[in-house]
Amino acid sequence: MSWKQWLKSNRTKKINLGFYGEVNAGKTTLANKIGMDWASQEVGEVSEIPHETREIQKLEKVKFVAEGTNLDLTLIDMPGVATSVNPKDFIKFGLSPNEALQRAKEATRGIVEAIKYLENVDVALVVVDATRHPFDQVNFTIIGNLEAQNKPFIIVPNKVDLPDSDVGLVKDAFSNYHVAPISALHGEGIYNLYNMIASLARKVR
Amino acid sequence: MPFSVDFVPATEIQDLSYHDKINYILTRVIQRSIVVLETSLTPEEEIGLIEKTMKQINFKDFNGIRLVSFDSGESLRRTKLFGRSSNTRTFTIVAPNDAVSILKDARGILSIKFNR
Repeated sequence: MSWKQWLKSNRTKKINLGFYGEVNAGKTTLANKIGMDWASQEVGEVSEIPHETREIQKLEKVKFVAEGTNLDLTLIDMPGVATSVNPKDFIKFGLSPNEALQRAKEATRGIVEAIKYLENVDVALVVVDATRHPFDQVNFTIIGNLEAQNKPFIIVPNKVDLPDSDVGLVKDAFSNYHVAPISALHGEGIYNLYNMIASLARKVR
Repeated sequence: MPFSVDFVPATEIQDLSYHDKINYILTRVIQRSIVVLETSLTPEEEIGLIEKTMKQINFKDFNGIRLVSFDSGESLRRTKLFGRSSNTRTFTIVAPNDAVSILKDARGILSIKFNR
């Protein structure tokens, strides 16, 4: 390795790492895992109620090192992208009609925000719930837009620790892409994901 | 209010601008039509449709859409062989969220269940 290459490989690169995906795929759980591993801080609150993340949440200055690559990450946890928002879905979880309506209004604004923020992301993690069938159009729409904007991304099938998960099906559905199955909750597969983030981040100009 | 199904030939919308195409589809869906397009939407059009949908939701009689492109299922297999799939011979379904449930399986088969 020449001294120029050595200097370049040791320079800390600033990367906006965006977490995209469907609602309740585990984006915040994963963002928290990365935040705790590298900055001892969480990014946001996790809930079983859909659309817990309704505003973009950031954690800056996350010093990350993998495969000899130093990164200064900004973790950007996006609201889950959906094609519909129904207040009735929140009432099922015990919210009052007013609370449900308020949550739904905030959720729709959050989805618009997440879409608009796509262009500011350097590397994206598309988090897919491995216990659900992966053919949701939202996943393909997000991936299509990342491709159209030449943004590097990794498909992250999450919840592989659950018995209902089908990693093979997700891998098959996205066989042309970088795929890193994980359990964000238990950390399974996380180092493989870190190596992939480092590898893609190196290619970002 | 009953739903209708509009089969829209590709020629009907092919010359429309990005915004006009999204408005064309969404106007029909809000008026309780299940729109079957004889063409695919670009990723930019799809995300634009989702964005516009979010702004149109009123939480009374419109809570959003169901969006499925047949091309996505097809491409699962074709991308393995040929790289990115083409946009030819595809169709897209955009329906009111409460009108239908749409499932797609690993072979790309779409099942549409009409809600009462």
